[in-house]
This record gives sequence, C-alpha cells and structure tokens, in this order.
Amino acid sequence: MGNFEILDHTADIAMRISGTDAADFFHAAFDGFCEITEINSAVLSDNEITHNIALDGADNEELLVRFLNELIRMIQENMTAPVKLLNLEVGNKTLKCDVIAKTIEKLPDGYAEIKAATYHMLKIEHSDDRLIATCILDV
Amino acid sequence: MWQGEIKRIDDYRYEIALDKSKGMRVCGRFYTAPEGLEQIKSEDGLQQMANVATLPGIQKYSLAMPDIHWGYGFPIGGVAAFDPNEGGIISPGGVGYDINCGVRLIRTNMMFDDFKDKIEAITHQIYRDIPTGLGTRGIIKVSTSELKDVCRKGAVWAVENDMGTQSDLDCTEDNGFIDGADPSLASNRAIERGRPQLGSLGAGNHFIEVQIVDEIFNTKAANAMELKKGQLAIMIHTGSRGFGYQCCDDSLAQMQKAVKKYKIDLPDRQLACTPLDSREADYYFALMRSAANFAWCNRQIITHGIRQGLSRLLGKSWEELGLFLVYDLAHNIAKIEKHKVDGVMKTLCVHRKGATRAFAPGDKRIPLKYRDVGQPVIIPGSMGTASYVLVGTQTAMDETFGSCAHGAGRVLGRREALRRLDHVELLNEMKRKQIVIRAHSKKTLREEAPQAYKDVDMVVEASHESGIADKVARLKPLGVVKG
Repeated sequence: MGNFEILDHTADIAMRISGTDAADFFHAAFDGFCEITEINSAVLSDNEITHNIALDGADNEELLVRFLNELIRMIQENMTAPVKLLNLEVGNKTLKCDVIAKTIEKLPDGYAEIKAATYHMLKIEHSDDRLIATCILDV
Repeated sequence: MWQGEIKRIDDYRYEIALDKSKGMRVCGRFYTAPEGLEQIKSEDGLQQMANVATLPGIQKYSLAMPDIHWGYGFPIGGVAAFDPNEGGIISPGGVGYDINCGVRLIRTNMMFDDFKDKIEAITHQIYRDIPTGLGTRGIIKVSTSELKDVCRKGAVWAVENDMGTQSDLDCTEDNGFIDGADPSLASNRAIERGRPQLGSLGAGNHFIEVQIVDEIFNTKAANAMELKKGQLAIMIHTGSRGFGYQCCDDSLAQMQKAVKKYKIDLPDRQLACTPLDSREADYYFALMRSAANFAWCNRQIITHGIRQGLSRLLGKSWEELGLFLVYDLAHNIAKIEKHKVDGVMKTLCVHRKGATRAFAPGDKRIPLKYRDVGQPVIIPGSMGTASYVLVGTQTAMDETFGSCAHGAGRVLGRREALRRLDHVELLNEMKRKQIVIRAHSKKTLREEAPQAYKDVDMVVEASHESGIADKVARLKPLGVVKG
C-alpha cells in the first residue's frame, strides 16, 4: 500500500512518497499532492471531467515531476480539482492515466499554490521492496 | 545541515573550502551577520552552494548573499557567474520558476501626517483594484498575439498602451525589457497560463505594501531617489506568474536531455544546465527573457492600476499625488554581464536566484539620475517588518558580481509556521502595530508571518557592514495586500 508523508522545508514544501511498485508509488504521489494543496476541501461542482494523461520521460523521476506538474496545471490552468486517479499504467519510461476532476467553484482557504514539482535531489530508491523518494514542490 | 568546515574571513564573510573530491571547482563564499551563522549551518543552503560550485565554467566563488536559505537547485540568495570561454553553463535552476520575480518601489508626494486617516482606504482600494490570489484574472485581457508582444517588449508594451511613462522605463532595470526574447518558442501551455494573468499579483510571498519612509541613512542617495522621512511609498513584489513557471518547466525538460548530451556531471538534477554556446542555451535564453519581459510588464500594469485607483480615491491625478517610480529590479534572473575576474574583464552569465543586482556608482547600466550614488537596491522585509533601500557599491562589483540580498530569507518552514502561529494572534499583532491587512487567505498570513523570516535588519546590516551595499532608507509597513 502506497503512502506519503509531508515534510518541512524552509522555503518550499516536500513530500516523501513510498509504494510497493510504480503504480502504487504514483497513487501515493497523487494522494500526497491532494493533501498538500488541500484541494479536496475546495467547493466543487458536481460535473466530472476526465483528463487523459500520457507522459514520457527518461526515467521514473522525470515521470513523477511531469505527473505532478500535470496536476498543478489542472488546478491553475483549468480550475479543476483532481479527485480520482484511474487506469494508471506505468511502463518503461511512460505513464498513462485518467484523472477525474471537478470544476472548482471556490478554493479552500488553505490552498497552497504550487509553482512546480522540482528535481531537487530527487531519486526514487528501492528499499525493503518499496520505492521511496522525496520530492520538493516550489511554493 | 552543513557539517563541513567554515572559514571565517571577517565578521560578515565566511567560506567553505574547495573540495575537489566532491567535484567543487571553486570555494563557496557567503555573507552573514555573525548571529545568523548557526541558522545557516542548520539547513541545506550551504550544501546547495557547494553543489553550485561543481558547475562547469564557474568563476571566483559560488556565492550566497546574507539572506541565504535552503531552496532547490541553487540556494535562495545564490549568485554564480559562468564564463562561456571556459565551458560555462546556464541553468534554469539558477533562476527559479518565478523568472524575474522582483520588486518595485513607488514614492508619493503624500506625507503620513496628512494621510494617516486614509491608510485603510488606500490599502483597501489597492486590494480591490489589483487581482490577488490563485486563479485570478489580471487587470487587462490580452490576445495571444498581444501577449507575445508583451514578451518581446516588456514594460515598454505597457507604456505604448498608456499604462506608464518613459520615466517608469528609465527607472526600471534594463529599462523594463531585455533583448533576445522569442515568445514564438513558448509552449501553448505557457501562453495559456500567462495570457489571463497579466496585471495580477498572485499568491504566496507576493505582496503590495503601503509604507512610510521611517529613516534616512544616506541623504545624498535618498535625495537622488526623492525619498524623505514621513513620506508614503508603495512597494510591489511579484513576478512572471504562470507564464514564467511554465517556461521554466519546459526548459528543464530540455535541460535534462542536454545534461546527457553534453555529458555534464551533476550532484543535483535541479541544476540541469547546458553550455552557454549550445542551441539549448539559446532556447532557454529566449524563453527566460520572454518571461522576464512578462514580469516587468506585469509590475508596470499593476503600477498603472494603483495609480488609477488612488487617483479616483483621492480625487487628484497620479502625477499630483507624485506616484513616481523609484526603481524596479529583478531578483530571479540570469544575465550576460561584463565583470572583472582576477583583473581581466570577462563576459559572463551571472545567475541571481533570490539575489539583487547592486551595481556601483558610475556604472553606465544605472539610470542617469542614480549614476552618482549607485544602483538602488530594494530589500523587502517580511509582513509587518521594515523594508530597506540601499545602493550598490564597488565592493559588490569586486566581490559578488555586483549582487546583494533580496529579502529577509525564511527561517521557519511553511508547515512549521502553520503549527506555531495563530491567525488571530497574528492579526492582533498587526493591529497593535497599526498595520492594515487585506488578504485572501488566512493560511498565507500565517505562512508569511514575520516570525517565519530572518530579521531583515540583520540581513541589511550584513549587506551594509560587509560593504556589498550601502543603506539609504528604511520603510515601515502601514498597509499590506496579499494573495
């Protein structure tokens, strides 16, 4: 089962992500992102929009950064809140998924505006049969 | 936490030694007041400074200004210059996502004693007129083609569209635009993120403050800037909004490939970079300069919005109110500049990430009206604390590629600030200080509380006492507008 932990960082914000496999890891990253931004507390409309995401990258670190940046853009560009991650497939240097989102009617007071996910010291490591990484988000 | 040795040069200068086993090509040098040293050692800013020292073509030192703190890639407060003739590089991680995030100071003819009853109304007017927070639309709507013009022309576009004057351009770093922008290379995403946001403040640490000039330290420089004690002023802090973030993001993707192509060994992927003479460098320069121009235009349009609003509120033209620009400067940017290294004049790419240009008196890149006193340097404090105006010095030219601190610098993480600080107590504290607050988010207020930042007085003292800048004036906040 994937999990995440939000960590302190002086200027920005960090999350430690852990999963049993790549798919589990990316699900945990999705959950961590929603927790950090507090987007689940937004006032949302009932209509659902499906964002089909297809990414490629040199490695899973690049896929993680690009995946999180897609979620950021979903909020900032489209004013939609990601609520569900479905059909996730992480392949060799590719990631495909559907993100179900809802239109944001009002952002929560606690919403954290994230500029981007960064590569700072980002390395997905294998430890005790788990994938673990710490990703810093620029606030 | 930094566990290596730190060499004290004097009370305000410290160095970390060259460690070739870790790939460092130069020493690291940082500036701080002695009482700030332990805090700096306790986090990862110095490690990041050491990482920057490994980059190809770096000159003299990997530098950090007195507001150094842990960022990503470069430390915040980081300065590094690279020589293209020695394999030097350019790195988007040395500029940051908010390209040309910067500060501008507008003076007024209004004296506090005459307007003290109107501070709340003035602050409220600004909050009402200038869009703040996330997802906000800017003051003006532009088409894609107009946005591309903005990216080519910077603040000049605003002036051409009656949202500023030649005097504004004269008092803006690089006259409000940097040549070599090519928005045709910007992604559709960058255009779509930027287009609705022109003339908006954003969220986080961005702000507009109504301030009072509280103390003058350097009369000659203050006179050149037409600053006097008791006068009201307005400070704006914002950048290139979503357009800049996306340009940086798009460039980083290119740089990840460039690192492999040019076989550059990096201690941190966020430092991804490319040789200055490469096609990838041309691409990044074209995008970064587009975003820098967006930011200068953004601050100019916000200035126009403030002038219009205060003119309506106070029943006088903005010229009668004396809302003239003192100076506008970038603190997240990379520029091609000439500097002396070991007595030889070189053309270098100077990265400033959370650092301010601070050129000495006599430099032709400074507006004529300030040429005798030095380039104005604006160091905003945290919410509720003082901000400072300084001027650049020859020491800065000799030691820091003409650079100085850009702000107070954080000491508390955002989550720690949320844990420790109470919104109501904070508002009461501001009330006790007679500071009017207008903000979208209670959470932002707690994250940006003065307790979350270094003592700006200490940062300014370190800048002044080390000689990399010279104090001119202190301003205190009366009204704060935040996203």
